[in-house]
Amino acid sequence: MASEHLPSSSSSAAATSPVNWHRSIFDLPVNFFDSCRLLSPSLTSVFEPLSISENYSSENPHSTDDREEKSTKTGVFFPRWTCNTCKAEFDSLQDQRSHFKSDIHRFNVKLSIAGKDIVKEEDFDELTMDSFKDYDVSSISGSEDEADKGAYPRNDASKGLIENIRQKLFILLQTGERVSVWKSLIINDSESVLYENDKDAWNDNPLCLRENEVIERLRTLIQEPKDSTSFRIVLLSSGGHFAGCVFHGNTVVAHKTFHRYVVRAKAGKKQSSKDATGKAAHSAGAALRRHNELALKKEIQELLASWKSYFDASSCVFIHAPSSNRNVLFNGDKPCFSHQFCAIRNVPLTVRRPTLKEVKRIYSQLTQVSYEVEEKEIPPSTKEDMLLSSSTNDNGNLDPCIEELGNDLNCRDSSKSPSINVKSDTISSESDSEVVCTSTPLHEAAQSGDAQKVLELLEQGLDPCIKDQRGRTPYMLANEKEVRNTFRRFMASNLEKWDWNAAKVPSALTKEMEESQAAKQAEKESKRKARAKELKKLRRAREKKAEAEAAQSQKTVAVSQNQATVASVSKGWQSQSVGISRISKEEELKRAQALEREKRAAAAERRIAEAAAAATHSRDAQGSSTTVGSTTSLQSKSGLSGPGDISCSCCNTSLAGKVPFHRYNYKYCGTSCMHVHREILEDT
Amino acid sequence: MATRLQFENSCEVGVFSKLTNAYCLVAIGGSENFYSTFESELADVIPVVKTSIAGTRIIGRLCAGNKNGLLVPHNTTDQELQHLRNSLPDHVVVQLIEEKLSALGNCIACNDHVALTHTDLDKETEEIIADVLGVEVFRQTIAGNILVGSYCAFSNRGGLVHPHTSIEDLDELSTLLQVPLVAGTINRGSEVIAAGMTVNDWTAFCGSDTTATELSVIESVFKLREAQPSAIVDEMRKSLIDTYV
Repeated sequence: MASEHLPSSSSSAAATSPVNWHRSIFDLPVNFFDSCRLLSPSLTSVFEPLSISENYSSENPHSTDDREEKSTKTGVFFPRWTCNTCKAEFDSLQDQRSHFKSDIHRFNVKLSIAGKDIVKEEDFDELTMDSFKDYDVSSISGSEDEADKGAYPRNDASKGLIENIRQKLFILLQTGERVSVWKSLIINDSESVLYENDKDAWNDNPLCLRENEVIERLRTLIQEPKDSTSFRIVLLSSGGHFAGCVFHGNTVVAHKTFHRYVVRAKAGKKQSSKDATGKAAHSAGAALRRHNELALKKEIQELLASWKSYFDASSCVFIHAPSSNRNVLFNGDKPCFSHQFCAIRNVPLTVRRPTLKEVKRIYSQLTQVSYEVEEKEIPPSTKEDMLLSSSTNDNGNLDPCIEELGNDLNCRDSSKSPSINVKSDTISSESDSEVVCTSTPLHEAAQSGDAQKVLELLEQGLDPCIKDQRGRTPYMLANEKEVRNTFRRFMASNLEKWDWNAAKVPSALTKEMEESQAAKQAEKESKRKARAKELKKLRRAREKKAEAEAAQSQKTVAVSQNQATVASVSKGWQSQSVGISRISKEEELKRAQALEREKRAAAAERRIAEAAAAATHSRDAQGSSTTVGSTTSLQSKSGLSGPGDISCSCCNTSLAGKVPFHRYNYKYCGTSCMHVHREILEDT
Repeated sequence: MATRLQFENSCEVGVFSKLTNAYCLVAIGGSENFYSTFESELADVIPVVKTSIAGTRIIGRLCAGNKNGLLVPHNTTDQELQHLRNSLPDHVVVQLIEEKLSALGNCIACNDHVALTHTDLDKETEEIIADVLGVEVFRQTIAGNILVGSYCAFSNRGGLVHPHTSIEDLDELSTLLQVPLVAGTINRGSEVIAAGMTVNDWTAFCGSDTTATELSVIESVFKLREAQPSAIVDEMRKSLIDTYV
């Protein structure tokens, strides 16, 4: 809490601490670990979660004690619906019971049994989110992950946390902040750290590192000259995937990934481990996988051999190679990384499928310094504060850059102002980036499509450039055109007020533009209407035509036996065919015609009935054969088709459009007619 | 009423027996005395079944159950499973659980409505417990002990927990389980409650080392003095009324 009494150092802390509370160890200033203290893991983050959950203001200098009191009070005086393990209280039995079934409770119970500190719900969410976000399989090959990871993602998350606590170093900085780094970054697997509280127990163990040794290592790490050739190598190998990468500082010097099909599909595990069970399969797939395993091993060993120079110059090698994969890395003809100064350490994190991306992620995780829970320093928000702090900074401040300035008393006044400028810049940029991550009423209004509200809020002066948690400005959230137009209209009237580029509003919408748009719209509308009208007309015409055709077909049926009707119909046909083109214009006329045709058809029917009656009479009188009768009737019918028409000499059907059969001078419609006619001729 | 008894000179009667409201399991032993004590106390009401589980006699620690069902570990033999299915009432579901923690009696403490379980039980196991026993499952510890089944015993009427349970935890547990709880001992100071006794809604069996004080605590918290099996009350009422008329 020293920082609260030293405004200058707190401000420097605010300036150095990034928004996400993580930064690479190689980006740290040289004096980062000056006068820091190593914390034992059991001491860390005991009170901070409480302070967050209880919204306790950290401005209070005695806050820690008060919080402690409060937490014990809650235990004693409010025993109603509580979870003593998770230090939580609930409003109802329902809540309590559902809490006892939750994962976080289970996790906390495990933690407390293991003697660890519990985690808060918010942290737990973050934790699980953290371990699963940016999950991306950059290798598209279909081989499955090793069975020993990924199968129990839930357990992984919880295990991960316990591991985290065990495998991290917690450091109290001079600024009062707590940071943590992975142990394996600086400490070998065989070494352990000696904390203050268990000094007596470990006093004589040579592999124990004292606090100052650890901090010394950290300092040498960040003071490491940038041009030296000290590499860190990460090798991941599992499930037929291999990824190796050589890093120098934060930069990738060399990298290589291999993938071979070695894991038995669906069954899981490598072919070699299946073979080791005694039941060797003789399938083609098995042979393939065996070959691939050997090939992969060969490839990896060749690569390691070719990286000999890197290994010689490397300070440590991080390895993740579960079970049999380890053989591949260590079992070569000659050991590849037996350099005495190069320490081989295990990756303490959960490792996903080995890809280049994963290697980079692992490395960035390993080398990052993460700020532990957040005793929220109040970031000085105004320049006045800054001036104050820098004017009071001459009493024993710890910030070296200001110290330097303070040493030079002559140029102090002149040099102070730029330093303040620089600081205020960093702070303003930070406050910017802090502001970035909030959702405003404007966001909500835009998202809900309330144009009126949006306009009101904009007029009230709400910033449309603010981004929400997912980096979207209010304009990007607006999914209705009217709301977007509201933004653009407002932009047109207040072009200078905001940085509309940052607000992602594409262009202003002025009155004139709107008018012209409206005019265009109207024109389009009228055009559309006209077209619709025309279409409607056409459709009606088509309907009419269909109707007429239907009537027509009825008539042709009726007429097929009578010449008079046929004549009227053929006439109707002609008028129809002529009429089609004009039909749309003379509907009335057509309707009249249709009526007339109807009448004619009725008349025709009547006549047919009479004619039929007459024909049966005459036929009875004649007593002629049916064939003859039919021929006569057909003949009479063919008569009307016109004298110029060619017709079959036997059945008298028209041969128009047909290729006739010729026999002597006769023409026939087909061979059957020809035979019949020949017989008739022979008979006569 | 609470009865004191021994199993072959051992006072850990909860290890060698399992008592619920619907059945009682008793280990196969050399002495008939143990079995006959249960039989004389329970035989009119619920079946008393002699069995072994996974070939052992520590059946109380290996299985968990209530009136709705019985959970047995994966190493139970087929014969034992068949025997249990044949002997237990039809409405009692016997379920085998595939779970690496096979001492289910140590990992699960339950009455007919709620169950406390070991935190490391699988999610599937938790679901089976909830389904078969018809209980709400909570993962909890008793005074920092993860073996909830060993360090507490509770029925639908009350419960006895590890003597080191704090007042806060006691309150929390009793709100959670909805039964009154008392921290206490069994068998002259033994804190392994469930090993020293086995209890249902109307009777309890304690190790013969149990002191009178312990016994009186047990009788009061489990409300055994006025208790009698509800089945007896129901069945006898008819005959009583018959004779009365």
